[in-house]
Amino acid sequence: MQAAVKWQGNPADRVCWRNWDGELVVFNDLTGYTHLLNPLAGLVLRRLTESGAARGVAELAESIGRSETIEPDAELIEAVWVVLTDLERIGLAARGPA
Amino acid sequence: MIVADLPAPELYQRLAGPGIALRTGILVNVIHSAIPAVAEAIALLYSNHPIEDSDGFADFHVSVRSPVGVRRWLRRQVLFEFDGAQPFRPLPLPQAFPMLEWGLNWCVSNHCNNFLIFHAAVVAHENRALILAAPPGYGKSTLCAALVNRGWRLLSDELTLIEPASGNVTPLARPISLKNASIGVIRGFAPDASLSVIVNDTLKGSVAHMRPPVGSVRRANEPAKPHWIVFPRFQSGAPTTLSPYAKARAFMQLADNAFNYNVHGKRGFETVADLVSSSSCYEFSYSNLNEAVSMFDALAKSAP
Repeated sequence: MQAAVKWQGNPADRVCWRNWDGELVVFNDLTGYTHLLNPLAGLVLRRLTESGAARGVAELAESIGRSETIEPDAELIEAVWVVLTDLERIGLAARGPA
Repeated sequence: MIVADLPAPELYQRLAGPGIALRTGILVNVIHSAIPAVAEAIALLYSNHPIEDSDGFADFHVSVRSPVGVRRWLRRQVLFEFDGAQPFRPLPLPQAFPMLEWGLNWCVSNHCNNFLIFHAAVVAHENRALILAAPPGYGKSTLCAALVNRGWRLLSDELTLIEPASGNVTPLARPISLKNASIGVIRGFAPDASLSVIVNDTLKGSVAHMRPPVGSVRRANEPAKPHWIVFPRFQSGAPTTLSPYAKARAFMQLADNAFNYNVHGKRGFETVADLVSSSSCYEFSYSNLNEAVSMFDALAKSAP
């Protein structure tokens, strides 16, 4: 079920962020809210927003695992899934077409 | 002309009649009041502030007056008026001058949206601004008053105005509001400082105001560049400790302390982000004012 879902970020021009020591502060121009994201959430958001394409949880975990030299195992996939649902709740990610 | 140039009877007469156009930094406030305590406090606390031509442009027209009608006999109260409207409930008459100060703060925080406005004190050393952001009761005004009594320039004890295009702090040097124990603390720390009479039983407890240093008032048109952002906290018995503070967290805390962050949207985000990026951020706890001031003096001297 999780594997089938594709995720999309907001259009890049509607989100801005600053990164300080891995912590990302994000402004969502669509809601007017500002959020403080932990490093993993920051990595997920940047991949979603910068690519512009819908991406699956395993693909995101693999990309993060590669750049951060972490094993993209079930634990990482689960952590990324939790982050995605959190980003969805605050309007920074949405489930795209499968 | 400055307030001190006006003989007391003329100041009282003008306040009770056409009003005085008091310049506080970039803002001009036309103030009306026939209440003697207001005139006395203005004469003491704003003595170095310029008075502008009453017929010229003014940002705010305010008055502090007693109610008309039967209430004037039933309860001795005072009203604050802004452009003829009364944004607050009446307060007891002895709170007339604090009400004027709170009203002027309200005017700025609700109307000056060309600035990003933080609930923070701000002082400067050689045009490098030190922003002291904290909720009420954390000792930021006490620390601010101590610093300006040791040579730092007062920009504001309550409202930090950031001009988004330049990122600079625009001064608003007005009397420093001291509350409860901090009144005695500053009297002991700076015996030469001019303080108003203490007004008791306000919503904030006992309140007194300190006259801003003349040098700060004279330089009220000189903006300062933000250099340090500090989140102070007075804790009885605490050692003087200055610790680096994560910038992302500093951002969120500053945004939470802003009056109009949401009004500015994306520009507000960029302004706070630039402010945080270009400043050193710290959390600071203290209980000894002399040590606290020494620490900030040392910080200023070590700045590149």
